[in-house]
Amino acid sequence: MKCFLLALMLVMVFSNEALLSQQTAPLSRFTIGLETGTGNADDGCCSDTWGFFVLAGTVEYRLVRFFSWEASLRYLGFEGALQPYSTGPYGFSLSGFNRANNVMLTTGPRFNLPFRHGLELSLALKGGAGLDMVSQEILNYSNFLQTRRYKPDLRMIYEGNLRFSWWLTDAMAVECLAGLMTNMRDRKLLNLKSVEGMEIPDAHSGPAQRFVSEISGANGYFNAIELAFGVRFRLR
Amino acid sequence: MSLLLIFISLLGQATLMPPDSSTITAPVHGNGLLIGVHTAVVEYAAFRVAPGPVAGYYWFHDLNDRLTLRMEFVGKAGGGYREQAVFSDAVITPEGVGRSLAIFNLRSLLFLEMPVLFQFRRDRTARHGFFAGLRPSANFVTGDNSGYLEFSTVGNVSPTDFQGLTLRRGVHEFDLSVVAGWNYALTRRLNLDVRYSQGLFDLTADNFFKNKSNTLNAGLQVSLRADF
Amino acid sequence: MKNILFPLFVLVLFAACKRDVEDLPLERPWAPEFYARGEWRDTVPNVYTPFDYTVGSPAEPPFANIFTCKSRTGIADAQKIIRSEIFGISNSGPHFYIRFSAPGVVMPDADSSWSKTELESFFTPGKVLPITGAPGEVEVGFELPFFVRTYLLANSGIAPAPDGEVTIVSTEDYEWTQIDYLGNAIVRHGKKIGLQFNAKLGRLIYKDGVPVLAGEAEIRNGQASIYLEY
Repeated sequence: MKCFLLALMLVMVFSNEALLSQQTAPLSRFTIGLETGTGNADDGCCSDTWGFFVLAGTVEYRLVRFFSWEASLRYLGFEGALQPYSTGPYGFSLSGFNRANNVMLTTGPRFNLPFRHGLELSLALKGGAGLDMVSQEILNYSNFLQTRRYKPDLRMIYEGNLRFSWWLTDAMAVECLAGLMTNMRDRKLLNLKSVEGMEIPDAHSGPAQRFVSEISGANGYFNAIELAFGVRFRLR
Repeated sequence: MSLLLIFISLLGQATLMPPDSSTITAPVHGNGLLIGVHTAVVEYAAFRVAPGPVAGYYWFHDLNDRLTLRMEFVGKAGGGYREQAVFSDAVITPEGVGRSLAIFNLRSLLFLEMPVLFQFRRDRTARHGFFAGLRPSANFVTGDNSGYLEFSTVGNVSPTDFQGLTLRRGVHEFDLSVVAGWNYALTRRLNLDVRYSQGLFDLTADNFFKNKSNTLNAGLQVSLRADF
Repeated sequence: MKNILFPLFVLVLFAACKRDVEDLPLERPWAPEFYARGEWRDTVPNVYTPFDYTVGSPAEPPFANIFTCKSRTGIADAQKIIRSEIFGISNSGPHFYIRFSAPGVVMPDADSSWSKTELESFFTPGKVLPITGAPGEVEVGFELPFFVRTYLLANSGIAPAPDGEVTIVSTEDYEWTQIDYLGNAIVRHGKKIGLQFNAKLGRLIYKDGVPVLAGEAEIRNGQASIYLEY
């Protein structure tokens, strides 16, 4: 796999020279894009999420006018509120925040519909792998108790997006993108890597046990909707 | 690592970096799309930073060969805040007690900003430029606005009910910042901006969050501007 | 001048402007006003256990019942009495009480309520009320805390060898509002009395359903803040 990737890299580096040597060579079929945006995510262990941030780099190869193949490397981060648990005003009230960071690599076809004046609408369906990195911050009322970090988890990712591009020149386009993504839901739970801070009161046999078992049931599953803006460049 | 090398090598193929010595004739006026990433200082004491997306529209017009007026209309999402406000009331009487509690957590904000900038360059063909200006901003709380509420009463004793209180009240709706940055024209239509913004108003009311720490709309932003 | 102005300008620029929120709701701290605390022992000498019955705190977590303090008046042994009782998990048997008898003899059907003047003249700071076994003197009652809830089993009035004293430390006016079932506010008036006390107690046990004196218990280092209503 490493050899294949290295070979692919070398081909990319030297392909430019080959293209330049042809005086009447057509524009490159390769484009690269950078996009950033926000959106909303639904995470299994959170009642509400916010702070959705996505940053992605994409490489696209236009096979024919209406069809291309795309690969994207994407970072996605968001935060959510864990379901609280309280024993009343004279006991404790456990709550917390779940922070999810995901790095995903997906690839797949893109179907393009060019219009006049450099406008283009396209639809992509991609699949790949994503690395889930989850951490949780636990509070008792307003007092910080502990930070729980889970081991990174690799799982399948599926995404689809609709992209509207406007080619301002032959080499540069601005684009707006709306997409859906989800990772594979399975019964596998995330493994706890470390706990820093104080113990949760009555965590093992008392009333807080239900809260602990719920937050430990984090499985990294999410589905998200994103809205992003980007810039795309055609290689020469 | 191999994947990163591939991505970087592909980026090197893009028509992004003409030689610095070459000149460029920028348009006199126009508009376009701005996208970028900002890194905000969300906690000054620990110097904790958090990234977020920036996207918007801009308009510019040359006042003369050296000076350009630019206005931007930008949305910016900022997370990573950890401000907490706690309200509590207790009424104790011989035959009853009333207790109420409200906890609000400020974790993320949405800023709608309108920077008004003056950009200075050596002449119309220069690639480099510097800009500065003011940035008014409207601020919105995203995420949980209602907070955690608890209310208990024994013996018909009523404490203060915090149900009408929201996190929105403790976060100032409007803000003003000063901006300074550097601009580089990658191509005639594509510009790279690097800027630092410093908010002048504490976004969080001290008497709501019961601390004197400053939460400012400040940070570093790197963005690309593409002219239509 | 320029050397001062520029840094000052920079400082002003980076000093954030602040604005406070108006009309924030009222907050009052948790400040327990009524309590009875000290150390108790059962019939075994020299084995003392602390107790703390603070009004407003949970009596027996995780149950929601809280400690409350009730003021009751009555006629006993031809004297007007006033009792401050601290209830916890049960509303019928107090965990702790302290009873005061007004001087003078009254008819059994006399009005048992105490006036503000009567309370003020009786409860004067520094006054010491001895426990010697004489009739009509102050009485301290305490329910020994066992796992199985039982009724009040010890008071100074039946101690085999009565001994102890109650010292009035402070008195102040106390007013509070109760909301009735119709939503009307009812203002109640009374006195908040600070006390220190020690007392030997007669320890009762039930034999065939009948309370029988079985020995001596004790409260020492007692402190209380009680409510008495007029």
